Amino acid sequence: MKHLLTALALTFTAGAAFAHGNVSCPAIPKEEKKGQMELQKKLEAEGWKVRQVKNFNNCYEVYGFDAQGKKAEAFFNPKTFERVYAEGEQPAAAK
Amino acid sequence: MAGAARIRVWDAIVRTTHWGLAVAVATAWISGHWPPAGFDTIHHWAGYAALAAIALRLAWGVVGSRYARLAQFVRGPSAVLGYARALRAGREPRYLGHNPLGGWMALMLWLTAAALGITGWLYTTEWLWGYAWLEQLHSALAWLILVLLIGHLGGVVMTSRRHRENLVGAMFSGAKRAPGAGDIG
Repeated sequence: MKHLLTALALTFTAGAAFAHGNVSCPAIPKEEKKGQMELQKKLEAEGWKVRQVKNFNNCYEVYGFDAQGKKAEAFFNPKTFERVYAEGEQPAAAK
Repeated sequence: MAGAARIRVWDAIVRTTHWGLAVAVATAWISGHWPPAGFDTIHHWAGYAALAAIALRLAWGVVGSRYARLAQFVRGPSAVLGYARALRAGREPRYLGHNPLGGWMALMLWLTAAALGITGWLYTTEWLWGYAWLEQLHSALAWLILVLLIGHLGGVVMTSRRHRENLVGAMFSGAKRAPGAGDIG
């Protein structure tokens, strides 16, 4: 029982740190970050449908559909809005 | 009498769906919180496996063998309260099947796991993909099932000790000590 709880606790803390195949963005001072709403508007102007934007490992993480209408879970640099790819994730051929 | 007689309580489908669901939920829980690239596939298949195990178990809860049936072990509030009081007083009877609290625990675990499977699957559909509320609901259910699991394991350990039988072993072999005086069969 105790071992199980320890294992679960370790799994969770390790898990939080390694989620999403180690995507991360450099730490960017708050005043240099652009807003999540701004990213959403930019992507929507490019044809995306955005359903959620949240912070993840200093990146903005976007859930929705990309310009090709495909389901997308994508990461962006909050300062440059450059797309950041997870380890093992294929950059899309288009764009 | 040397060695109390043992009788078969948990049939093969009860045991298989129990351990199948346990493995599926554990796999889904770990792959859900620790997803390096590629773990999503494992997470999804663990969810489908859990749903299949629950569907089979619930159907078996209607047409299965005696102790598999929901009607045998899902009891009303008065029976549950009565059992809880007896438990506190240290004089609860031994049940051959699920005791009234254990029965509700099993049902809660199945329903929570089913809700996890369904919300998880819905999140992958184009209809509901990406919505924060659904992700949060799925995540809250994952924490709920962890709490239930701890209660389930606690109940198994406590009941095993109080009635001097190995309930974990019984879920592997299917056999339990035949009912004695005062036991409820």
